[in-house]
Amino acid sequence: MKKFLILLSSLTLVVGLTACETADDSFAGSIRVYTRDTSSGTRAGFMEGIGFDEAVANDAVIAAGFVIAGNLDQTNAVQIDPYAVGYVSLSTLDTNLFRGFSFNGVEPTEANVLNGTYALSRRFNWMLRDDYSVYGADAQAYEQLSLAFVAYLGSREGKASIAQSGGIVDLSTGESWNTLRSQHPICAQDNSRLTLKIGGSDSVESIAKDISPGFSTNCGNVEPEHNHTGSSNGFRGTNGDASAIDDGLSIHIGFASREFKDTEPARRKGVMAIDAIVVIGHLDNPIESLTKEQVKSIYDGTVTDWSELIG
Amino acid sequence: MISIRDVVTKENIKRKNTIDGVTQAIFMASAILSASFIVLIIVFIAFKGLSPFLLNYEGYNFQQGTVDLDPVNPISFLTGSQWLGGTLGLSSDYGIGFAIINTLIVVFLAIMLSVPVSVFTALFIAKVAPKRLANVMRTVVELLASIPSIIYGVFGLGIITQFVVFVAGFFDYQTAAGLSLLSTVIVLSIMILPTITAVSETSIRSVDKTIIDGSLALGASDIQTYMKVVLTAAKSGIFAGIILGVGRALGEATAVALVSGNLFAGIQLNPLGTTATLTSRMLLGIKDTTGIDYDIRFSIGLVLMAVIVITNLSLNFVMKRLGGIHEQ
Amino acid sequence: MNNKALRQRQDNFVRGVIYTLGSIGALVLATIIWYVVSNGIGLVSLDLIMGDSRTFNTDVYVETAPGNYPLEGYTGELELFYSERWGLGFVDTFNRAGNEAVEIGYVHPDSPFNQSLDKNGFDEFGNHLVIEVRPGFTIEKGFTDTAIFLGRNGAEQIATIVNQANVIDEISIQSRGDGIRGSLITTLYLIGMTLLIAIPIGVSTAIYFNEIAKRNRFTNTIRTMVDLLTGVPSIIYGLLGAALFIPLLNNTIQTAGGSVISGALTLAVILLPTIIKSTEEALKVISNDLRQGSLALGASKTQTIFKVVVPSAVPGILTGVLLGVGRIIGESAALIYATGAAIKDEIILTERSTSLAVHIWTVMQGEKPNFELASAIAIIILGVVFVMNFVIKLLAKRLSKAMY
Repeated sequence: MKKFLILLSSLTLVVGLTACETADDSFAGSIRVYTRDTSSGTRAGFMEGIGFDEAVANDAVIAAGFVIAGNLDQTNAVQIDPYAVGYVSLSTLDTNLFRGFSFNGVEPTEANVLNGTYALSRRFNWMLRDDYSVYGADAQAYEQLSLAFVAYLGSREGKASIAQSGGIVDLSTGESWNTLRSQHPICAQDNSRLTLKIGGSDSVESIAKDISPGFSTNCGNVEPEHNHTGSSNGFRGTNGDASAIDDGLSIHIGFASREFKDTEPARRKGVMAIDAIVVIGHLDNPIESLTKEQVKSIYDGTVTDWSELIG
Repeated sequence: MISIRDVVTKENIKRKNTIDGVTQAIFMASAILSASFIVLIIVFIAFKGLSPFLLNYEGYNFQQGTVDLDPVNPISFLTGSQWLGGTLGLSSDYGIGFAIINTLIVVFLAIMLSVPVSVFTALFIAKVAPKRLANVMRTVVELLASIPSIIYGVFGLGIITQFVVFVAGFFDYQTAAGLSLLSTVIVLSIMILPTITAVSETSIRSVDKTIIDGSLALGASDIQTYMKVVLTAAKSGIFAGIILGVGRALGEATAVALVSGNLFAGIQLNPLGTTATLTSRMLLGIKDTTGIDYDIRFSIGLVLMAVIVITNLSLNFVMKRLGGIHEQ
Repeated sequence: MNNKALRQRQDNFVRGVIYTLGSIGALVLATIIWYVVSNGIGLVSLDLIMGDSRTFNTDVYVETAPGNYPLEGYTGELELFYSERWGLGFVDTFNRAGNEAVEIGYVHPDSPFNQSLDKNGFDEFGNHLVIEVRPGFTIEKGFTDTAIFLGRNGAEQIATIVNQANVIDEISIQSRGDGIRGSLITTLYLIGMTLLIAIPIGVSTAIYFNEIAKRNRFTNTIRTMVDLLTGVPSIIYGLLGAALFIPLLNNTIQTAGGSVISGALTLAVILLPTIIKSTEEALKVISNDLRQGSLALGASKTQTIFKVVVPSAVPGILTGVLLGVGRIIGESAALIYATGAAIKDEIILTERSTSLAVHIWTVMQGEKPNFELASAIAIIILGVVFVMNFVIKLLAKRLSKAMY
């Protein structure tokens, strides 16, 4: 990583120097818009967060010349391209390498997300199957394991794992798993022959994969299996058309990195953590804060040059 | 001792013939099975790839639930200048025309870049370099050929895009972090270099020695002979190598998808702008997609196969027309 | 005279151009190797190759009260943050995902953590297992009577929190994870199964073309059809896997979606032209005297093929097989469609998993792309592929020596 970054930064420096000669005190240059592809949960959260719902799954409405890029490309771009704008999850923000704009004047910090002032955030939600009977003899075991898992998410231990993995949770609350465990007798058994299938949002993947080992040791060594293929599959794999046991998308616990819609009903659902999305740009960009309307106008193409945003 | 009479009995011959018949049938069945895959590829990809044009798919989007989708219009699909007009899952307004053109541009430029390098490398290995150096270079080309596509992608994303950023810096031009037509072309041209080199080298080496001697005897220098006589004599082989290279470049997927920048709409002629190829479109977002958005990738596959066949046929036609020399 | 000098100069110029362009390939190869190695070599280890992709947690605690364990004899290179009351030292490192992580750097010989207890592990008498905390263990999280600490807090803060604690409820120790054993095993399975399918069919086809088939229209047609396979790009084979083999397996042996088997079937089709071609080439150079001698001695055609022809063609077949193995190891586009990209630790043939090449693709795509891991896997793939290349060369040399 280090060597790569050194290479990158040296190249950035060269490009930066040549760019500096033209850009003096006023910051002008046509904005280049970066976005994740339409299957990304971060994109859905971002577009909904800036009030640009049409763009959640529609590339055709985004500003001309936009680039569809993965996270790696986006974070590279905002280090190289002084006129780039993109968005990443707060946990990937590295303010030494690129700028994270304040949103509506509020700085993107965990504290601001928890106290509700930083508005560009989304919740990581979970949902359970309504019907476990397809698992036959193991139906009850799987239902209880799923319930234990979501209980663990709210425990002190689970929250610490979530926080360690970059999710935003209030660590001051949460009961100890030692206490909660007694309500889940299934965890006192040996569950190593059972595979708990966890899936849905790929934005949640890294967090979910960091929690499940802790849950496994604390719940009879149940085998966690992760298949994160997008928020929509969080519902489809548990209660939707892909929930049948022989379907490749079938899961026990489904996550979404957005709110479940009315079209996605479930009896048992809840919130695991909050994630903030940060609008990012180049360190040379003098702008520190953008409003919701400004970000939307950048992404829908009504504003095309940075100079239009400097008042 | 076994006498010849014991071996050549009527039953023995009969048995031998039956066994021969059975094994031959098995071998023939294998051959037919091997041959059938090309048919299976066409039939099954056509079956899946044509259904978006024929069926009403059920679309799904979490914002609006389930909707009925119209079949994709094949004309606007083939001529479309943007990938999808409308919301993913709620629209069947797919277009791939721009990617067809962009693919052809990418491949054309990659060939332009790769052919001089490959042909001179081949000439270098076959004629110019001292034997030991030639052996080293031959190994180098073989190793380049064995590097998997995905590693070219890693290399492209790590080095080539940075190089493009560096180049663009001189023109004070902002690229999309180096994801560009130029990066794609460079990566592809490196990937087809071994193919063209290997075929060209074989054909350069098989140039008749008497022609070379004749040229030298007439007073031409060795370099003049290589450039004017050998390359001319080897041109049909070189052209065959180029055709192979074009085929490889058209179908290359993973590396291209990583450096192209996944252009959404329009034809890209600016080398520093992002582009999209048929294959990069097939891979984008593949990890979690279903329904029409998944099946439409088979339609692209059909288009890709058609593009490969048409390019191949026209190049062969051109070769026969221009070359005047037929393949051995 | 003047003309000659001009020609000399022209020749030298052209020679220079040939040397320059001819060395570009070497330059590119060197750059690729340098780049991949400099990025990934730090991660390559036996532990990476044999390790699980997912992590495992062990929660430990101690029942004793804090004491006083002054630091002595720490020889590690990293800056150590030490808690004297518990005899534990922490260091900052990076994990394989490229994130900051905190490891145990030092355990005092008398520290109670030499005999900490496993919260969830019991021996046959129902007593907690005893675990010796050692340097190198990664800290995920921990709970003391006064505070919670997380790995991402950094070694300094963790050491402070631990030192203030009167009771340590729990320290979660995490195995490293991000190992590639599963993908390696999948790749090996893919190689084995693919060859098992492709060799018999490919070799038989080659034998048919070279030994049995009459020169007629039918033979020409099927030969052309086999030749056409060579020009099909791998992503199209992937579509074949997704459109034919996956549904076929789903309906017959009840797999759910892509599997190792569907991948192997797809790869087998990809390998067929290679194996057929190299077998045929080997068959072609076998002298006809050998065949006729065998037939004249009274052997049947079948016996001749199996006892005389095929054994002499083995080196050629082997070359084809090795080329094929290289292709399997490097294949990505076809497998993304035909097996999927799920990274697994326990490999079951009828379930999804991912090969090493697709593993690279997956780690570059996700929310947290990981260039170092991608490069590390690339080093392994390149190593194998390059070695195989040399073996093929040796084989070819042997083959030509044996023939002439």
